[in-house]
Amino acid sequence: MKMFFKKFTSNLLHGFLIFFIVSLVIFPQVAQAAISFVGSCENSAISGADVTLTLPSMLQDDIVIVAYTVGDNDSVDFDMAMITAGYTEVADVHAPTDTQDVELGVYWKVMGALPDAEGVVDGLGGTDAAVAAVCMVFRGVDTTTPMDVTPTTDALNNTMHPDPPSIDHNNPTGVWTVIVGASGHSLNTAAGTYTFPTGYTTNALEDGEIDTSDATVGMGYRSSGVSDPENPGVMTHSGTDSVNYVWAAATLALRPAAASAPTVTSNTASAGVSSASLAGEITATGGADATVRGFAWGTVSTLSGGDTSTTSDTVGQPFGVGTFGQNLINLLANNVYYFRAYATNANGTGYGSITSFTTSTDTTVRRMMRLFEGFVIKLFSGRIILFQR
Amino acid sequence: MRITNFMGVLVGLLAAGGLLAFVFLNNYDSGPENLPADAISAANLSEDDKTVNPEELATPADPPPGYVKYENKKYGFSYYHSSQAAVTEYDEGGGAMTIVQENLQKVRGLQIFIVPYAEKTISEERFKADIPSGVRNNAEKTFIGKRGVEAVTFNSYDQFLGETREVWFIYNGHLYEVTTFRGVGDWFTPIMQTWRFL
Repeated sequence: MKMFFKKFTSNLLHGFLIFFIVSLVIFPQVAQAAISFVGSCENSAISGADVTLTLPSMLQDDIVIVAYTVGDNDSVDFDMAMITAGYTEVADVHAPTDTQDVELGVYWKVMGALPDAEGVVDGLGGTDAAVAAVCMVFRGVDTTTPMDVTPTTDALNNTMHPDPPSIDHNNPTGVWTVIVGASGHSLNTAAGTYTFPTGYTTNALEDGEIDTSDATVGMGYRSSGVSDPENPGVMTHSGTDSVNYVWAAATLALRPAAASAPTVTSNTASAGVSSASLAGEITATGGADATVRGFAWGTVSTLSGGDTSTTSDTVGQPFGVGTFGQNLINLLANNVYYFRAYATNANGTGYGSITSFTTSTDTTVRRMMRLFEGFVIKLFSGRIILFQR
Repeated sequence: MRITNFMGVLVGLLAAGGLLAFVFLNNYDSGPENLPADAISAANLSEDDKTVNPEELATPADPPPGYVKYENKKYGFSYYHSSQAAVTEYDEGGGAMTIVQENLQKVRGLQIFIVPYAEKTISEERFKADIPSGVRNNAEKTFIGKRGVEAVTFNSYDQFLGETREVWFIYNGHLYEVTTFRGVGDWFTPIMQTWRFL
């Protein structure tokens, strides 16, 4: 028996070890980019008017999340929507009817090559409704599946303090949680503020509007210490609560993008007779700043072969998004050169496309030696002697 | 009779020797002994021009005897040079000119290359365009003309002339490059001291 248990234990340990090693091989850990906060915006309107948000400056693949609320007392479940095209709705929550109503809409959009400057929400609710909207922009979010899981929503009457519901992440590693809350009230004062729950206070914002019915909307995020599942906590409104007031809320989980090599572009070069200035840009880090950046250049259009040189710049690394350049000298005049920019991070090297420039024609008037032209000059015993050429 | 004959021979020998000496001294400039048969001309590399006092050459309003004035109205300058030297101008295009002063007999000469130049200092690119050898030794600052235009003088090398002496300066939107043989002695410096901008 003793021998049996000894052998069993040994085999068990061997099994675990093999499984662990195999897991690493078959299921390697995928490196992930880090999510970062880019900026936020807010605006409001009365009389149920549309609200235009001036979005923060964004890059391609940034994601913007818009949340807006309509405060009303008509007991109508509005169909919330974005006027600006391209948004995906993740929540349209109507709080249970009370003396004051509130509706919350939440949307996201991944920016393309030309990021939006504005986002317009559809104002609803008639001339007595207050409309308020907020936005947040994040970078490094998975552009294919930005929501790690389906967002959760909740709403309640008899109080105006939003309680964003719990959310169960698919994979909490690197996930950021975003909470949105809206309050319907009739405080008839400024929009008020929210005290966000612990962990959601950085960059959190809110906006509100007052009309016959008033509304406040707020958004916050958590970038660290995210639990699985995550139960954010209550957003406490600064106004005096009432049983006639209502709230609606949503909780989102942002999935980080898989780490990749930097995204690089080769920009237009400027060239003189024998010199040129190359330009490149890191437009996305891929989750990790570059440690090397530079250019490959030469006279071959494919930049292959012996006539290709490479520059590498490590001074000032690590390199995030931004432009960089390199000056070249001693080039041949009136010649076509090809180049492309590159940058390398922990995940690999990204390259810009191969582009070209042509050096200028050399129109320099150069000195010719005409002194005793036609003669051969030699030194002989300390004397200059001329010979007819 | 015997003494008379001896005296006559002695006088004759002395006369002949004196004649030979005279001929030899007067033909001092003809060239070195053992000059190659196909040589056109030759001169001592460091032969001074002893005919004119350098100080006298630098200041007179008119050229002293043996010298003439070269004046270039296009670029606005003048200087004195030996009347035995011939001056030739070459239009190089693009607003540039080469002026060559040559004395074949004494193997003396200089070249002045003038080219439009907008910069305030001589760039390395410009230097290498005109002196492909890239040789630039013993550079010193000097001044040209009564206006004291700052210049640089240095030793260099040309594939045709060999070792050269250069004087470069920028004036009125042009780069001036004066070139002669290196080690030419004091005939060159007095010439440059007569340089005047018009």
